[in-house]
Formats: sequence, structure tokens, C-alpha cells
Amino acid sequence: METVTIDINNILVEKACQGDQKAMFRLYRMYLPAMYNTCIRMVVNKNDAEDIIQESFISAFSGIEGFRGEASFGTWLKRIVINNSINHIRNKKIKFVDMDTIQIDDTDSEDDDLPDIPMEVIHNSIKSLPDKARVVLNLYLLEGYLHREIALILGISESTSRSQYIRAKKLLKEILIREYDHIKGESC
Amino acid sequence: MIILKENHVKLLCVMKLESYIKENRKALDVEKPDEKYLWKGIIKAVGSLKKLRRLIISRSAAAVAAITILAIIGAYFIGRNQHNNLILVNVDSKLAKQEVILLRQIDDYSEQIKKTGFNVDQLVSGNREVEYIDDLIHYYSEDLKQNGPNPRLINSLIDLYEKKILVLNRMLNEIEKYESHEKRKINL
Repeated sequence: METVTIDINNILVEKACQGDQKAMFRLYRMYLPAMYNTCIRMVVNKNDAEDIIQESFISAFSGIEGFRGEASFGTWLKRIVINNSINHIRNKKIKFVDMDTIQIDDTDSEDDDLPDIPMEVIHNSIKSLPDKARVVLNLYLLEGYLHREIALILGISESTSRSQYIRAKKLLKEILIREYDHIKGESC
Repeated sequence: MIILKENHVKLLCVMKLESYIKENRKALDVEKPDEKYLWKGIIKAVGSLKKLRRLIISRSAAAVAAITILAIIGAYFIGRNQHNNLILVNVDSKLAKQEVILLRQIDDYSEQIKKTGFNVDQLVSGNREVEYIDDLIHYYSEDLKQNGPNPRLINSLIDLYEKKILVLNRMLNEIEKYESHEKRKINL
């Protein structure tokens, strides 16, 4: 018997295009966790993240006719969320300046191993990173952007993006090791 | 920062930070937003945006329709007026051009006479002749409109235009003579 695969996502998007609120709600529920977590890791503040998520879904649903289906709906929506998050950070007057002259030691990055740590801790550790390093780490490591793309989005050089990423990774490891030692100490 | 319990920390394997995060990317989405609260705001905004868009579209359509109607009415009246003045436009393009030139000359002379402020009824024969020529032009024009092109009538019409120009020119000369005579009288 021939199996017919129906892409539920496309059907929901088509229905949402026609103004079907149930389809919109299903898309919303499907993508909310990923979008919200992406956003909050970028902007940190809960209220800001909620505002950005609302704004992003509103612009996605009200401009859904403009979605051409070149990428998946999720990819399209994530781009909106990331753009809105970056705009929000920019409005907070955080400047992404070039830092080519700053030397960051990344010699131990390849061999430095970490214990298996709950994702909740990593999520919160990322949120505690400094703004610029956090944004670059999110975009590169979690959202799969290339340093070339990050440089374009943030208006910095590619080497600055790399430097910020190395810095973010180093800081993150330090935070995680501290957390681990703290837990270890508590459990002893 | 979340306080970790001992059983959460698993030291089952040692992994590099980057690959560990990449492999567990989905598990990193740990935070849950207020789904219902956010949805309420989204659907309310999407609804009002759609209403606004519909309103703008309907108003724009109404404005376009009104402009189109006005343009059609305007074009109809302009066309009708032009048609009233230009009788030979539907007969022959060369004759139509000739008619335009003659009518322009007639208008120029009439304007010059008007500017003098002279009472044309005081002129011996000019004004009556003009009225008579106008009657004939009207009569021939109506005939041409009703019965189609007639070479004799067309020639007569052109001839009438030329005669009208001659009469108007004569009237203008007469007015000038009269005015210069009046000036001389005053000087004496």
C-alpha cells in the first residue's frame, strides 16, 4: 500500500494564510518553546522576551501571505525572532564594536573536557554571559549562523565575531566548572 | 541560578562543551512562557491588524473608484467641448489641423476686440456679419455631424472660418481707427 505523507506544517500555514485562528494557534503552540528559549537566551529578561515573542508572532501571522515557503515556517519565524531580539539589544544601546586587537587565549579549548551537566544549568549559564559574547555564542553555537553571517548581522568584523565566541566559550566553561564545584561541595 | 541536586549531576561521560551542547540542543529549551497570556495578546493584535488592513484596502478602493469616475466624467465633458468646437476632427486629419489653426486665429482676434472694451454694436456692419457667419457655421456643422462628410460643405465651412477672420480683422482695424480719431479729437 502506498503511504501518503502529508506535511501538517504546510497545511497549517495555508490555513493560517486564510485567517484560520485554530491553525495559527497550533503553529503557535508548536513553535513557542523553541522561539521563547532562543529569545530569552539572547535578551535574558523574561518580560522583554515575552514582548519580543508576541511581537514576532504578530508580525509572522499578519504577514504570513509574504511567507514564500523557500525555508520552513519555523526557520522563517526564527529569523524574525532573532532579528527582533538583536534590534531589542541594539535599542538597549549595546554596541557591537570590533575587537581585533584583543587577544584571547583559546589554547585549551580543544582539549578542555566537561562533565555531563544538566541542560538547565547550561541554559542559565549562557544567560549569565556578558551581552556581546552571549549574542555571538547564541547565534554561532545554538542557531547555526556562520561568523561571516554574524559579522553582517551585528555590523562587526568576522574576526571580532570569532574572538567574542572564543571569549564566550571560555567564560561559559568557567561558570560551568564553578557551578559543578559548588554542587560537588554541597553534596560532600 | 538553579541549585543543582547531586543526582542531577551525572559524570557518566566527559564531552567537549561545543559538541555536548550541539548534541543536546533541543534539550536546552527548558523555560516555559505563559502560553495563554501571550496568545491572547497575539490574536487580539492580529485581528485588529487584519481589520485595519481591510479598512485601508476598502478605503483605497473607494478612493480609486471615485477618482476613476471623476476622470471619466471629466474626459467626457472635455471631449464633448472639444468635439463641439472641432467639427472636422472626424473627417480628415489635415482639415482638422487647418480648422484648429483657423479657430485659434478667430479666438485671438475675438480676444483682442474684447480687450479694447469697445462696444461692437457701434460698428457699422462687423458684428452682424459675424453673427451671420456663426449661424452658417452652426448650420453646416450640424449638417456634417448628421449626414457625414460632404466636400462642398467642408470647403464652405473652411471658407466661413476665413471670412470670419477677415471680418474680425476689419472690426479690429475699425476700432483702432475710431480710437485714434478720438485721441486726435482730445488733443485738438
